[in-house]
Formats: sequence, structure tokens, C-alpha cells
Amino acid sequence: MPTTPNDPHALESTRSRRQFFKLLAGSPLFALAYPDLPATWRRDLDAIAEHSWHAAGSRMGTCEICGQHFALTPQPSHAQAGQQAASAGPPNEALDAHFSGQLIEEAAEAINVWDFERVAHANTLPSHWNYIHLGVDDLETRVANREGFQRIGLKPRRLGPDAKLDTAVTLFGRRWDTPLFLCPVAALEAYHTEGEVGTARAAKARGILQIQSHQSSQSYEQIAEARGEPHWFQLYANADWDITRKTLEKVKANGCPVLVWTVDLLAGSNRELVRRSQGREGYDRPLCQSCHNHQKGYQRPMHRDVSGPPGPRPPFDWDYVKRLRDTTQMKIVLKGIVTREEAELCVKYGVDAVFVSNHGGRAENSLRGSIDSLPDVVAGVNGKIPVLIDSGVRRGADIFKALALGADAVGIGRPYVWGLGAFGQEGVDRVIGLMLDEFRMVMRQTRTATIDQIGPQSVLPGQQPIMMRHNAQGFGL
Amino acid sequence: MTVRGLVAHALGVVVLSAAPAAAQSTIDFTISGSSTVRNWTCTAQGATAVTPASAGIAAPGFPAGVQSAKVTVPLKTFKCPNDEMTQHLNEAMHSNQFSEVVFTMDKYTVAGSQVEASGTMTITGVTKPVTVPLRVTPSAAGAVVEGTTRLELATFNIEPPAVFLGMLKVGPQIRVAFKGIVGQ
Repeated sequence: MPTTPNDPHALESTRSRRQFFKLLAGSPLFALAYPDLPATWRRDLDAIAEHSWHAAGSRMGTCEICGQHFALTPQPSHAQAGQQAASAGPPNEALDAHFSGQLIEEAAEAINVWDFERVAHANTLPSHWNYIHLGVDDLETRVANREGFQRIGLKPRRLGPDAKLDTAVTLFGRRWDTPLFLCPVAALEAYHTEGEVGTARAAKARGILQIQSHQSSQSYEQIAEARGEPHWFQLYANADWDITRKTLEKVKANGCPVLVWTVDLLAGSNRELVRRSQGREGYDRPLCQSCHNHQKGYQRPMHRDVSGPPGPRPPFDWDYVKRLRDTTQMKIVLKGIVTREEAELCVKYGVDAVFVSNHGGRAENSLRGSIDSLPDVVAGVNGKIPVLIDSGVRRGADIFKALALGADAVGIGRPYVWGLGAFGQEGVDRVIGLMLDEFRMVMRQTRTATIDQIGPQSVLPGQQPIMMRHNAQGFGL
Repeated sequence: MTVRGLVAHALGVVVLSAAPAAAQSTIDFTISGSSTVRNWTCTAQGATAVTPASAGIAAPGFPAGVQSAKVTVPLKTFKCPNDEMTQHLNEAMHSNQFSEVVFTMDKYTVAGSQVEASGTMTITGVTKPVTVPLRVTPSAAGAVVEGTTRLELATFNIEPPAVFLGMLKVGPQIRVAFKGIVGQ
């Protein structure tokens, strides 16, 4: 018979049971009897017994009469109980692999982007892997990036007309097949010999935008040739203005239409994993010298032929944006803007687009996901210039959520590098394909046929993050 | 680098034909593998010689079947991302002694567009039996043949290239992907 909180009989019954349990807890025989008691009895006894957690995790009870301490048999938590139940069942490799990643042998076997992570890790020099894997400090902002997306809900619409999906977006007058784009990532040859060129071929085949890193392994010309057209270029401004100016001239001469200036590392970043990985020898190790700058005369392609006599060293302030503006006809995007105030300044100083990013959790340890910053930046821009975003995008649903909150295009970094490291161009292609398949499914689930139809009404912000994928050592983020 | 094995796989390309004279075609190979630093890819190009059968097992694009097929991949066609890798590959393949990789088909089975070609592969003078799965689709010029297979370098007594005192070492297995049009 069901009882209510105010049921006097129920209250009396509970009181009596507590008294009995208190008596039982006071008995020296308690420790012997405890393991065989029903679970519900043990739970009530636990609440009554004076106990504490010890370093080893054992729980201690105290006999109220004799003062003797004794160990209580640990009760499994709900999660532990679930694990025990699962382990008692038949082996389930698919379930194990789903949350821990699997070592697939062909790109076509991948079910989601994390299936490439373990393969790439297995095939990459540890110090190179650590570079792509790192987040500042202890990777907390990497976690925040994922949690940001995982607290946003979707609002599906069940019924409606069947409409043909159109995922096309237009940026600076150029039409792209989808809002997904590939972010600049340094030194892609570290993960596969195909590097940026293999990535470019995959991006071209999928009709998506790719931004070349200033620290790329391969030259602008090589990548543009693979793409069949000039592409966007990401700049790390040099303290020496003349070097930066020559870099701008170099990419502009090759037809670069858009310059993406990364501003989120100007104050440095605490990349402990890389420092630990490099150790005391750093690039002095023989294996490293063949590629890194310690080899005499070696420079990455985009740093070649831009040096000269020392030039002026202007501060990286808002006048620097004006200086860029006055120097090049390329569109200028500022990458790393995460506040409304600076978004407003971007508009004020003539920036052509804002790129919301915390550098994949590799800039400052803000503990704030980039998707959490997006609404502020969108408000600051107020529809006057496009807004791009990256950091933590792993699912097609993430693309959708970012668009719903006001982004015009959504970038990925690590996922395509995982694909590249695992299977070269083929892996990049598969990563893009998987994410776009997921994205289109979410569009169908929400009955949004075009990008314009995706808006705040399509999502439910503000929920607690639901993180199923474990992130031990940063895997699965 | 690991290209050697790749070639061998590439050779696995099968040919189908119906006319008595051998038809010559080219097939592109992509050879990929691992190393202690990163994964890698090299390319090569091979030539096929297919002699059609008059009353053999029908295959896509070759209704009368194929009498014989041979794929030859010259080592000089191997191209790696940089000259150093190509050099390591040639050294591992003993290109100064052996100039090509050869696959000779002995028999094949057909199940729809899936063809399984069995024969021998000769790399660095070592000949071993191999079976290569293919996907064959008819085309105006004959048939498009494509597939992937994996080879263990040790099978052909190839020592994976290693440099920097073994700190950079190629993995023991390579994957060969190939695609081309085999003419009738």
C-alpha cells in the first residue's frame, strides 16, 4: 500500500526501524551480520552508523557501546553495480569499443570521429601526438569545450513536409556546400606524409573550406594546387612587421582571398604536455633534427623568403588591425574572439568576420567552452559580419547547435587530424563524411531544410552536460 | 620506404579479357604503411597484360573470361613524398638487383562484381602465392578494376627500412590500393 510523507503509520514504522537499526549498529555482531543483510537494511544501517572514508576507500563503522571500529562491506555504487552486471554478462565488444575507441583497419569501418583517434595515436610519434592532444594546463578547457555542446539540447519536430536538404552557406560571396570547414592545424606532415595536400584533396572532394596554418608543413602553392583554387590562410603575426607584411604579400600573390589572424596566443599558453614530451633535449634529439628548426637552414614553407633587416615592431593592439586593413585587400578574420566587447571592437575596426575560438582548449585555461562564448560574440557582432566557431566540435549535432546559436560556419581541427593520422586523405574524407551525415540527420530530425531555418528555436540551451564518452587522459574529448 | 610491399600488392590487379591478344593497360597504385613516426603513402604505376579467353569464366566486362593476366610494376615508378623516402624504398627493394614487381594470375573466381584473383607475386626475387580481392565493373573500355590488399614485408624477405638507429622504422605490413581500367 503506498504511503505519503504525512502518513502517521508510515512515519511510525520508519521511526521504529531506525531504532532497531541503531540497536543493531551498536552490536559487536554487527560486522559479522552486516554482509548478509538485505541491501535496503544495509543502506539504512549505513545512514545510521558513524562512518568515515579512509584513504583506501574502506568504510568503517563504530560500535556505539564498545567503541570498537570495524569495516563495513563496501556497497557498490549504482555505476559500479551496472559495471558488475555488465561484466557478468556475455562479452560485448561493440559496446566496449563504442566508448573506448577501436583500432579500425580501414577508414570505411569508422562509425564516428573518435574511431580515428586511437588509430592515429597508435601510428604517431608520441611527441607529435602530444602536440595535437594537448590542452593548456590539465586539458580542462578541452573538457569545457565538449561539455558546452553536451549541455545544449535539440528540439526535434516529428511531423512535417519532406523537404530536400540544402546545407549550402555563403561566406564573402563564395558559396560552400556545407557550413563545416577545416581549421588551421600546424605541421600536418607530422601525422601523415600526405599532410596538408592530402587534406586539401579531401576538402576539395567534399566541397568544403580549408584554412591553411601559418605553421604548415607544405607551401601555399602546393595546397592551392591540390585544391584547385586559392584558399584561406591563417597568420601568426610576427613581432617584426616587415616579416608579417612579406607573408601577406606572399599569400596574396598566390590569390589568397581571406586572412585569418590568430589572436588567442599573443599572450602565450601553458602547454605542459609538450614541454614534458620534449624533455630536456627538445628538438636536439637526432630524430627531431631532420624536420624541426634545429636543422641548419630549415624553415617551414610559410616562413621562407620573408626575412630581412629588422623592421618596426608595432604592438598587437586594435591599431594593428587597421595596419593589416591598410596593407592588404584580403578579407580579415580575427580568430580567438570570445567576448562581446571584443566582438564589438572587431566590427568597429573593420574586421570582416569573427572566429570564436579558444584554440581547441590550447590558449588560456578559461574553463569556458567556445560554444558558451558564441552567444556573447553573436550579440556583439549584431549581424554585421559573419561569425565562425571551432573548439570541441565532434558531432553533426554540434555543427547544428553552433548554427542555431548564430554561427555562420563551424570548424573542426583534431577530428580531421585524427583521420589524417590514421588513414591519410581517405581518413580526412571519412571524418568529413561522417560529420556531415550526422548533421544532415539532425536537420531531418528537426525538420530544418536549409541553414537559414536553423535558429535558437531549434535548441534548448542551459542543461547540465551529459558526458557518456569517458575522457581518461583526454581521449574521447 | 615500405613501398616494396606495395608494389607487390598492386600487382594483384587482375585482368579480364575476351580476345586472344593481350591488352595493355595501366593501373595506379597507392601504397601506404606505418612507421614509428607517422603513417605514409607512396604511389606507383603498373602495366597490365591481359589475354582474353574464348570460353572462360565470365567476369564483369569480359563475358568470355580471361585466359591470363600479368601486372608489372617497375620500381622506378615508385614515388614517395620526398626523395629520401623514395631512396629508402629503393634500397629496401634492392632496386639495383630487381627492377620490377610482378603479379601473375593463375586463376580467378567471380561473384557479381567481386573477383578473387589467385596467382604469384614476385618481389625482390622472392615468389609467393597470393590471392587478391578485386572489384570489377564493366566500362566502355573494358573494366574498371580496383581493390586493396595487405602484404607482410617479411613474406618477401624485405627488411623494413630503419634510420636513426632504428628510432624511425617502417611497420611490417603495407596496404596496397589500386585502380585502373583494363582494356579488352
